[in-house]
Amino acid sequence: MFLMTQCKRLAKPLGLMIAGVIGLFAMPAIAADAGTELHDLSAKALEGKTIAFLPMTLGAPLMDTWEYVIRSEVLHNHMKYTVHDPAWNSVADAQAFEGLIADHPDVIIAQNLNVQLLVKQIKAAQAAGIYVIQLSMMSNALSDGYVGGDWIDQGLETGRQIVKDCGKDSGRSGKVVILQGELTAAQNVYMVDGLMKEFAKDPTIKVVSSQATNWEATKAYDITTAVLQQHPDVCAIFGPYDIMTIGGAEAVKKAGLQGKVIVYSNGGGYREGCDAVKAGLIDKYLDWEAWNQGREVVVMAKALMMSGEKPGSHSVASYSTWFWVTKDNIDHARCSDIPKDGKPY
Amino acid sequence: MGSGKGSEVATAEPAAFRLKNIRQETLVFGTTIVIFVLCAIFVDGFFSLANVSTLARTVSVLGILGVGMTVVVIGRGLDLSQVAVMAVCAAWSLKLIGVGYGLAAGLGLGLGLALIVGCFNGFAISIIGIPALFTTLASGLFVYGVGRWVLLGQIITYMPPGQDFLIALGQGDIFGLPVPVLIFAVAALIGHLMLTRTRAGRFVYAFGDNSEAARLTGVSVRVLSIGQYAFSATVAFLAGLVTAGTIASIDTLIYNSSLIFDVLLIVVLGGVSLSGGRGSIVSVLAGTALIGTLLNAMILLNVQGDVQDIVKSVVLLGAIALDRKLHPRDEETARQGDL
Repeated sequence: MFLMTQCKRLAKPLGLMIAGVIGLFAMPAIAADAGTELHDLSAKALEGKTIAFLPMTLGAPLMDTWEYVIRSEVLHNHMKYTVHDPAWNSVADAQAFEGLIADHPDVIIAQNLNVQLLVKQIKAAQAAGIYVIQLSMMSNALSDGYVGGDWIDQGLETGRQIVKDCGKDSGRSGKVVILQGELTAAQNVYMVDGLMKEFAKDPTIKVVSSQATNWEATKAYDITTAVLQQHPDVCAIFGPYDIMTIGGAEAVKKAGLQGKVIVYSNGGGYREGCDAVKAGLIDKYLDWEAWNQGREVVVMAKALMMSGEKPGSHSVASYSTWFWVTKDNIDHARCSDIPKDGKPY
Repeated sequence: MGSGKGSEVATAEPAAFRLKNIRQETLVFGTTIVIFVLCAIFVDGFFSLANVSTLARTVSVLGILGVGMTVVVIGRGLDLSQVAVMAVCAAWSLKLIGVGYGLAAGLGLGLGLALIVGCFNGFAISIIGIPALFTTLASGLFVYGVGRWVLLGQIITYMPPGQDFLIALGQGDIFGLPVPVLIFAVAALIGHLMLTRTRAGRFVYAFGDNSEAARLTGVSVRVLSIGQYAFSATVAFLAGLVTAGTIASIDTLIYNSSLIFDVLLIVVLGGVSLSGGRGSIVSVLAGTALIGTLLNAMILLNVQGDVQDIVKSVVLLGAIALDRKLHPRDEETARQGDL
């Protein structure tokens, strides 16, 4: 009887122990199941889905870097990929977007030419059940996702840097030239806004010229040449787009003011931007790594498709990190270059 | 009251009569001088040798294109493909030089392409009979498209390293004068001599004034037409090289800009009539001087780009209105598709 009672008392711990041992052996099997489950979930959500990319244009370093990375990532995940090139033309851009809604891909990744352009189309795409992610250039419509620079923050940072280099404690003139891109483009609007906020804090900073170049390097050259003649003691030149700013930098070089005038810009850290820093054309380059953005935007697309949320129900954002690249730390920049044959990695 | 009115008419009439007799380029030169003096007084940093040299350099590409356009417009034509030819052919040359073709071969092929486009324009207009407006609009689009997809692949083509000669075309100075200005001067001189001193030049005027009469007199109008467009394309290629030299790269996006209308602006402004047969290279110099002065002053005054466009458009409208008043459309010789 005593033995029976002892056995009964032992039954529970023994059972637990046996269960534990069995559990221990069974663990890898269960873990493998979760892994398979996730793998299946991912495959089910992604395989055969179509991702469409609509940049402002192709054939420029920034857009070609994105295009290469997005294409490589999408194909690697067994998804389909389409790309359209509106050649920096807003009418063609809107038409291409409307064409995409009709083609009904699962995700549209769009870089917006200006803040107003695709507002209607983005809403229409979401209503049709397509996720829309905006890349680098925001419009006035919220979409399912945004990947790109925090332009206001970058404008403030550039403003702080310019105030530090040219402001009241620097012993320099405080004269600043702003080479604007297009007056209604998001990057331009927000960055210049940020700059002006910082400039307002230092009365010695004086913007002597702030004109639109329509992203053209030639126009940047013409404006800079004329303004440098009027104000040879300009301290800082800022352009929100590296490729355009190089035009202004060439004018600085021609005027023999390299090193005296500090040229600020920012960009995706591709070879052309790095070359400009190495050549001393751009002195301070805010690098936001376009290569990473390409990966991020595909990660976001995958997350949206796997979440199964209804398009238009949520908005997520991933603001790119950035760092200053100068001649001194150029070795740490990625300076990404895409292979000549354009074959995906 | 009656006598007062009479005296008004009497004083007004000679004035109107005199205005009609002033050549448009003289009027434009006069306006330029007035604006120049006003800017020299009121715009800080305007009146210096360096700035005047900058002013001239800034508009020299526009002026070079204007010389080509003038020759075409006097012959009652229009070349909207200039900017596409300029961007694509010059960019192609740079690309070829970059991949190992020599300087001469690269430039030769670029020029060859420009000539093909120019000759095609002339052929389509004079032999097939398509209006110049549509021919050159289409050929410009075609060249741009082929350039983007077949020849270049990139929007921006960079100057290969070590091309000092090409850089000098855009950035060099000879005797203190910017090279682009000298190229403009040479192009203008060649255009001027060609139009005024050669038989072909006189025929261009004859053809522009009355194409049918020119043909009946025995002018080989088709060859003439092809020659005009080939000249315009050659000049456009040259303008492309100057642009490429200036910023060490050429951006084919320039095709999407309003540059071609700026070219038309300086041509019409100086008094080259869109109905053909009137104007000269001096007209282009006048138009270029006025626009150059305005643009430079607006940059120095920090006038926003959109406002600059408004000013340019108002000047263009005014110039075309004046052109229509001074040279009314000749219903006898006007053809469908003429501007």
